[in-house]
Parts: sequence; structure tokens; C-alpha cells
Amino acid sequence: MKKEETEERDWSLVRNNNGEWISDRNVVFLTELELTMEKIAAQKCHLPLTVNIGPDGTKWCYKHELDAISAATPVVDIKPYKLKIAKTSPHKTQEMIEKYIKRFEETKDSDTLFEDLQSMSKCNVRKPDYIDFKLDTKASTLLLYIQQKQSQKNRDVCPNYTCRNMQTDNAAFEGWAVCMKAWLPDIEKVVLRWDEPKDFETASESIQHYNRFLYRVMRFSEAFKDWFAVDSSNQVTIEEFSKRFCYLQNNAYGKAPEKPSKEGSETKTEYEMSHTWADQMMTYYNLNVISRQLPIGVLQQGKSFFTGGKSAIDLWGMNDDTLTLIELKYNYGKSVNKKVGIISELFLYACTMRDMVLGIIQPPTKSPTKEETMLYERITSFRRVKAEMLSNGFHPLLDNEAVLTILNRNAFNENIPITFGKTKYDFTGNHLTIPC
Amino acid sequence: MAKELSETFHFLPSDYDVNGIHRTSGQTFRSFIAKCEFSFHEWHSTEYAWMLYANSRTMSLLAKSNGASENFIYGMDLTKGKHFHPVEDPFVNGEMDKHSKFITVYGIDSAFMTECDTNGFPVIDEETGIYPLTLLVDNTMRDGTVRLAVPDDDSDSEKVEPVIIDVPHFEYV
Repeated sequence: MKKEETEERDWSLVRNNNGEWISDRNVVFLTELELTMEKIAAQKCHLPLTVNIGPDGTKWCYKHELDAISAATPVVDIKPYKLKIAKTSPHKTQEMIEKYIKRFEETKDSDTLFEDLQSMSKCNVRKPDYIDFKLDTKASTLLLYIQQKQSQKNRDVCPNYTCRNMQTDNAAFEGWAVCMKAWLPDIEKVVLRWDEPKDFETASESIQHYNRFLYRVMRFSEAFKDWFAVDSSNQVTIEEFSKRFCYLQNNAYGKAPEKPSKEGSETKTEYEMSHTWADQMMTYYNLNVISRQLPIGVLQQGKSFFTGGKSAIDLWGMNDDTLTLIELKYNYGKSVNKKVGIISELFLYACTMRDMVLGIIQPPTKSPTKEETMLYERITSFRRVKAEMLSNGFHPLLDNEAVLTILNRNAFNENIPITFGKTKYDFTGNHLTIPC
Repeated sequence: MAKELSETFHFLPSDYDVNGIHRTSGQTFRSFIAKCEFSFHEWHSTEYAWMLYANSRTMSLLAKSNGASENFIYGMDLTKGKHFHPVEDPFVNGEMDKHSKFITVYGIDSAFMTECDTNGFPVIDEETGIYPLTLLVDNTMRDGTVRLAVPDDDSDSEKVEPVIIDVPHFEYV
């Protein structure tokens, strides 16, 4: 054989993990850093990425798989890093490379995770002060830790957000868990840990908030048991809470909610939606009845167990077999209410009403409106609960289809399912627009 | 052309299902090939089979039984008659592979490649002559037939074409 002929062949053979020998033209050898980036991109695009190992431990992937990932990955995702490195000083460049490498270490802290979130969602997501996030990248598990610690602003105060309003960023663990899982493909499981309140700040109301928090944790662990769990340090608390979760009854207001007077407020919009635009709303949500302000102030043996007062579902309605709960948010001018906590609120309302359908929580003995009376008369006949977010502007992390997909893959589906939905309305002048 | 030491083995294709699993024993067709490799070595004590010749249907059965990806095609087409040409065949098949939507599998691990390095990668034992099994498609062969072969070092063809037996060693190592 001529020597020139042997030199023409510019490829050699590589072995894959299945013991098959193929041409190295079909493969791409990658460094650990490159491989990690490709894995993240593959997960994000839901495309396969087979990692094969060579004789010296080098790693390689099939070219066709990488091409498919590359075609499905928007270029903008990697652009900022490349540009930043190219334009900065050598010192700065080193700093950035170290920071970049840190992203692929075994654990990611809150700062790194929020940088990832900002990069993926293309929005400036602010990290809550009292929740610490830590991702164990090997186990793909996110630890979400609600901490009781000294306030940065007022050192005399040491707030515990498990005893505070669930809407706030520091308390809305359900919102963060779902959104982070939806946006960051390297999160498979979420573990919640919290500091048990040392001393209840304003006694009874804090206890009621804490009861509500424990109820949310208990139900969230049931609904998403395949990926959400309570840290071992808090498990006894939840077990004890589940034992004392009995003899419960929902509350009712003494009189029907009044017509709000303040124009341009959320309450006014809520009123208009249940009155002026009731037909439009009923058609859109497939309802026979629509009403507003359904209280969720659960009582235990006549005493407040959950916070009462203003705790109510903004809008609700029903048809023959479905109970629909609508959490309304209204953003106008300086009044902006775009929080991931909308998930936490809606989850609590949906679970509480589902527990009433199942007879775990008893309905109130009397109701101030005919709609509520009708609701409670039929409460055990509902076959499903629909939980709907309705706003004229959502938190940017909710702008991802995976959020609803995750929420709707809940374990309640076998018995009185809860389905989640999201609708954006437009409110111009005196005209309400909701999608057809 | 180099001389080869070869043995032909027979099987009943109807004994195997579409996934290359033996209908009664549950063993894979790959296991059958492994048994053929052991027999080959038993009959020629110093030799290990380097090449497997079969038609494309048999190659497909081997691919299925080996859990190959759907876009993998087992075996090189023979371009110089009925025997492997270690330079021409890889070159021509390599060119075809380059423009194909399928990936050609040129060889599979020998049944004797059982020792692994620290990364779990099977060791190629050059001293004893254990190399991966080069897969060669010969569509003139009948269904139910495979042929295992090794270049015959004792033949006088070495004087004429000394490169021939060196190339496969180089490729796999």
C-alpha cells in the first residue's frame, strides 16, 4: 500500500460507553467546564446529551447532539460572559473567570443562584433578605432556608417570616421553590428548612400566621412529594402540626362586603369584575356564579387558628362541579404588586377550600350572602378546584410556562384535583380585556 | 491481498426476535458472537479474532442486540472484494460516513477485552493481540452466517504488502 494513501485518512477511532468504535469526526472532546455548560444547555432545551469517557478520562459527546443543543439554545445566553471577559482588564478578567468557575462548583450560594436566575430570566430578580438558598449541584437539591436573623435596617428587630404575611418575598417559599425549579434546570429537588420562631412577636396573630405557614408546608409536601421535602430538623414540627390539625371550621363575615369607594384600587377592580364585568368573567372562567371576598380565617373550636380579619379570596365562582378561586392583582401607577407570593396565596386558598370539599375543614354555620350560602350548601359536591391568577402584570419569574406545568403536576390529581391557571388582563379606561 | 485465518459460524435468524434476543434462551445475539470469539481462540490458541464478516441483516441484528443507537450503522462496506482492505476500506467508508446522517460503527469491543483501566476504559492488550472486533459487511454472505478472521502473519503476503496488518492496530490504539 502506498504511504500517501494512509496519510489521507485524517480521522481515528474513539470508543463510546457501549463498546462501539466510531470515527472521531462524529464526536467533540470537552473540558469539564464546557461539559457543564453543555449539560445545562441540554437540560434547558430538554435534549439528550450522552457523555462518553475516553481512556485517559477525557470526556466527549456526540457532535449531532451538541449541534441540536446549539441550534435550540439562544445565543444571548452566553453572550454577556464572553463580552465582559473581552472588554475588562486582566485583573478583572481573572476575577470574572474565577466567578465563572465558581458557578460550576459543587454548591451554589444565593448570590450565584440569583445571578443564574437573572441571566436565565433576563430580569433583575431581587434576592429575599431572610431566605438563604443553597444548591447542592451533585444532588441537584436546592435548600431553601427561612432564617430568623437580625434585621439589617433595625438591629433591635429579629424577624421570623414564618410568622408574617405569606405574600412577602421572605415568606413565600412555595413561590420561590416553583419559580427556581422552573427557571434553573439543575434543580431537581427542593428541601425547606426554617428557624422555629423563638418568641412570637405579637403573640396571637403571629401564632396564627405560623399555623398557616405550617399548613402550607404540610400541604405543599403532599402535593409535590416527588420533589419537595421538609428538612429533617423541622420534620417533628410538621408531624406534631398534622396531629393538631383537627376540629376546624372556616369563618364567615358578619355582613356582605361593602362596595368600595376608592377608585383605581384593587378592591374596586375586584368589585367591578364581580359586578360590572360579571358576565365577561363568568364566560371566561365558565362559571354560573361569581362573587368576591370569601373569608379564609379557619377557626379551631371557635378560636382563630389561621389569621382572620382581611384574609379572603378576592374573587370566586362555581359551576356544577368546579369551584374556581381567583387571586386578583392590580398594578396601577406606583401601586405595583408583582410578587412570586401570588403562588403561595393561591396555594393556601386552594388547599383550604379543597379541605372543605373533602370535609376536613367544616364550612361556617351561617353566611352573609346568598352566593356563600349556596357555596357551602354544595361544598362537598365539587369534583375539582381551579386556582387562577389574574393580574395586569406578573412577577417576571412567573413568565415561564414551566411554572404552571410544575404546579399542575401535583399529587392531588387522584382525589379532588387542583388545577392552576394564569391570565393577564388589560384595563384601559373603563374597558376590561381578558383573552378569549 | 493478505491471507486470513478464518472460521465460519452458523445460527438460525428465526431464533432471534427483532431486538436480537434469542427466543428460547433469552441470550443476546452479541452473546452468541462472544461465544464464537471464544471458540475461535480455542481452535487457534495463539490467535484472537480481529474481524467479523456478515451481511447487513446480521449486522443489524448485532446492532439491535448490542443496544445501539438508532442512528448507528454497524460495519464497513467491503470495497476490495471479499476481504478487508485495511487502508482502502476505512478511507472509503470514512468518506461515506462523513456525508451520511448515520454514524458508522467500525468495531465493537472484543469479548476478551475484560480488563479496564482506572477510568473504566477497557484495556487493549497489544502483547497478546486482543483488539476490538472490526465489523465488515459482506452482502454476498448468507443469512445465518458470520465469519471471524484474523490476518495470517505466517503468510508470505507480508513481503508484498507489509502495511496491511499494521493499520488496524494503529487505528484502535
